[in-house]
Amino acid sequence: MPVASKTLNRRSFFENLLGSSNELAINSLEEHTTPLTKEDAFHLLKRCCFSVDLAYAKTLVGRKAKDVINELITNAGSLKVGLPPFDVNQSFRNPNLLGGVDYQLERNKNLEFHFAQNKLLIEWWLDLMKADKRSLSEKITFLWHSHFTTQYDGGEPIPAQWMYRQNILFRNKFLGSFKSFLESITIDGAMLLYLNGSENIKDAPNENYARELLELYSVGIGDGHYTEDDIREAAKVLTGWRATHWVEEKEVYQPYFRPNQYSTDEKTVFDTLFKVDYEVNQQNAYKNAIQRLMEVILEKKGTEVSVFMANKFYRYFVYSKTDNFDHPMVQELAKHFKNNGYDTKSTIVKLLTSKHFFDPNNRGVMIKSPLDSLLGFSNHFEIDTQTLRKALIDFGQEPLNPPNVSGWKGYRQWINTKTLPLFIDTFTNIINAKSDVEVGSWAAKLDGFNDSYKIVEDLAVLFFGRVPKESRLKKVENALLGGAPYYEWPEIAQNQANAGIRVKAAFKEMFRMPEFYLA
Amino acid sequence: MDRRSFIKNTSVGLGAVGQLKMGKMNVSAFDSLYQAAEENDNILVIVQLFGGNDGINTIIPHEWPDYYDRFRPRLHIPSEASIGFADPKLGIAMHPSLTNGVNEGMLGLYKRNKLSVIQGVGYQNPNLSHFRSTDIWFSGIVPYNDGQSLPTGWLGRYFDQYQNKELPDSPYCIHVGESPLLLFQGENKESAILLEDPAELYEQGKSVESDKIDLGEQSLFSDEFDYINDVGIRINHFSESIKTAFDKGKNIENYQEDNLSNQMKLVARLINGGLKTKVYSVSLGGFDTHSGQGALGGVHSQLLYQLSAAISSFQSDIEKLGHSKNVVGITVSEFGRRPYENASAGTDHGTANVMFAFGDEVRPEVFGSNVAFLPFFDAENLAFRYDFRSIYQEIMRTWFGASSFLSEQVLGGKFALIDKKGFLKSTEEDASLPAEPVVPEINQDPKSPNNPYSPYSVTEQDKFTAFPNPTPDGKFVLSMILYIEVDIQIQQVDFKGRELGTLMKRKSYRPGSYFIPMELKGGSGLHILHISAGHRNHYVKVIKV
Repeated sequence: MPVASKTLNRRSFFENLLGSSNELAINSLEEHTTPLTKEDAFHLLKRCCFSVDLAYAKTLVGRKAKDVINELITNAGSLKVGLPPFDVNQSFRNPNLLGGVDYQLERNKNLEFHFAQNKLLIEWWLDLMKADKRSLSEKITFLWHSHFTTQYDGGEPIPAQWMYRQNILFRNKFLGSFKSFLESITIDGAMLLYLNGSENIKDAPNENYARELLELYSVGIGDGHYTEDDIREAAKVLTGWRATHWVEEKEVYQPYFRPNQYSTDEKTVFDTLFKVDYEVNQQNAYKNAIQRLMEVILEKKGTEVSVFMANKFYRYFVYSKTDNFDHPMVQELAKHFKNNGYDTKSTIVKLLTSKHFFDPNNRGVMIKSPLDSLLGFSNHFEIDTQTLRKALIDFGQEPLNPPNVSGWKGYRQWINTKTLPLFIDTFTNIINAKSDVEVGSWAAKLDGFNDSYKIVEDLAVLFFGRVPKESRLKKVENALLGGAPYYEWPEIAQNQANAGIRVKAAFKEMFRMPEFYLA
Repeated sequence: MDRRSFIKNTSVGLGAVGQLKMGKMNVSAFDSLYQAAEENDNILVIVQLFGGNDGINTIIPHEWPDYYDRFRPRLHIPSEASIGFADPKLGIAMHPSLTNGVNEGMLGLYKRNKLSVIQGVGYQNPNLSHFRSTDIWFSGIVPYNDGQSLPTGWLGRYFDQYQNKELPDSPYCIHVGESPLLLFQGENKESAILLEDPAELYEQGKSVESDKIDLGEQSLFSDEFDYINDVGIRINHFSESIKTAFDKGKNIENYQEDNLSNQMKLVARLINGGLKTKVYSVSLGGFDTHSGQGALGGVHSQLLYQLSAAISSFQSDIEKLGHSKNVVGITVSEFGRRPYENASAGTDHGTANVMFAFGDEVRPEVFGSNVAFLPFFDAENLAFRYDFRSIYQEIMRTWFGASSFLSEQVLGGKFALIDKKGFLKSTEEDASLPAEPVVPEINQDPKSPNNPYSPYSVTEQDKFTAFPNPTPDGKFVLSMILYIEVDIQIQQVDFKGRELGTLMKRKSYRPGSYFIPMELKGGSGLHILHISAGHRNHYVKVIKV
């Protein structure tokens, strides 16, 4: 909505003069074949892992981007994913079958389980994110979680047993075909509960999931993308599925199909007729309703789907600025996605090995999410997992608990007048809680440890979106030296506790600098 | 506040200049932005009631039998406890908690002509999700469908008019709280500073980078860098003026010791300290009373108790401090609650709601009489009488002195004044505004499908289906899909209307789907299940072969 006057400020004046700033980066998805430099390796790992392994980054220098990405994908398979610390098969009594006081008692008991176990599950996941330093595993798992949003604590709390299964689904599908992703998530238990798929039956089709399937998970909102009729009819196609965790029922934790709740009406979605001319059973319904619907979506709306998803991938890995469906790279990536049978693996590889991705103009342009910031720091100065989860609540990014079905808004929402000082405060507390010796011995492992300027350069490589100009880096160096002349640094550094005190001071300067919040 | 930009951009002022004049001016809308105006130091205080306040138990329809018998058998406020305050003909009373606070609380405000009660505020196609409905209220936009994104808030867009100006001394808006609200989000910038503790903010203001850093480049990197740099600069810049005002200001009135009172006490002190901030928002959560809402002395009563104390102390304070001519407040909640209580002794998300406005300059009246006169627009939710955007528009035009052009830009349209005259004393009638929303009439015809109370009505959304049907052996499963919590009783009658007995005794069910195995009594032929769901009746035919 246009508001008030639209006079050009100086910047937009120059933008108009010089062309949009995006054009500074090379617009090509061709493979970046030059051997990786140290900067390339850090750029790549910062975008692919929540925690960057310093030693690993060094080993990537001189290798080809494509080999490294393939390695990050292969490594994902070997990340050890254990069970969360609660019974993932625990079922619950249905309080609705009880009357009066018993109802409330049983319900409260269940709710206590759901909240406590989901907390454990979130911490289980955070531990995995901490451990994953050499693969795409957790970044990709989180990508799917933030795309196929399910919120355990939105309305009726979803049992952690279901949330766990959904998380495993994301891991199993990982970088598979997008179509099979759509099929599986549609009858995922947590999803059936979250978006009322379980209540979607022929006599009262519930449109909640069908709407989000089109609007948020596949086609995206847009002019002529779909109609209310498409939603209504798709909802009917999806009738009959149910997920239960009630001990009184069968098929616990096994989403199943109820033939008598399935709408056998003829339906039309995207001008395609869905006829029930087959025996109504689970297998046939899966094939003729679920799989067929996804087929139709991709057949009829393939361009929209591919642009919608390419935009998502682009925002997640390259630049998180709000949707830009017209960006030539999004368009080109979308074509690749569509032409390769909606294969997510080759699409992500294409993006992450492209000249565009490695272009220096695309480095340091991502505003770190709280997860990126906190995990990235915890990688060097451990934040215990409970504290981490609580901090993520304060910053509004608790995993498994997005604010609503449309997920985290991201981008500039992460930095505001509340969070910026809170980040500074949080990081200051974390570093203050570490002993001087610990910080000093950590710093001693940096290549440039014995040179006051080189060590701040090393810190910038690790924590800044970009190594700033000398004048800005001097600020950090000054904080490090605390008034001492630079040539005295090697002597100060001799004593690890003293070095620690000084490095802490350098960190506190860095927390104030905008570069710290970019990656 | 950069007063010149206010003058420059908000055109007509108050009183004599009025809004009518705008319609008559023959200049382009854009030029009207540059009319000179009287200086305007008016301040708005928004009191957010998060979770959806139960308007029916706030301003009680205490002479309405349905309130006690049908809607709130357990959760009503007893008639003898509720406080009549307005014209007795309206049949409304205040919740006794609203007498809490200095000078009889909000009741006292009404008696002293400083309280507007606006009944039935809502919008078309109400959304019952907290997030979505909160977004709708904050954005000031009623979306054409559920998918339409609402990226900015009405106050964010309003203050976007200054986005290219230098930072004023005082922030345009202050939200006393910890999370940013969509309310203040503009196209590019936020118009509000988040404030919890001025001393802490001041310390934080020192912790951030406060200098404008010129990277000397134009790139995506510098875009994001500058954004973060700007956030720091704003915190640093405003934390000083806020601290100065805080140190200079004072409170005279006593406040209750609770969160909302503390927030409003802070606001009064900042106003007194000379801060030129135009909008303050404060909030009280916990209104999502799905269970254990309680009647007299319950959870909801305690919330109103805090609300009344905070608002009455605040009003008295700014009167004593000498600012009351320039301050009005409104209460805002994402929706009201459903008239029917649920089986968890709570109430579920509803629609139209009561809204309060307080201050020297509000019309001390009850608008919209009694919610008892509002029909249901569906089976269970109240229709609305006033569009909430009418109130926003009036605030911009009358209180801030904005041009009608600007308010129309912000809200994407024009809206009727509340009862054609508005809730602010200085608002003038404006014949150019559209008509008020039409409140549907209650259908009294017992045979009409549009009468939700009709015993014949089968228009309820609850669904009951028997299968298999026909049944070979009399055994069948009844599928019930319930949208509201209700007592269900099922009796069997034959096609001649003879009662064959009760298949299911009266029992309360929560919303959801149920499958209940049953067996017909009697021999083969057509049988009818008479299902009473609360006050409604459903009939399902089952054939035994």
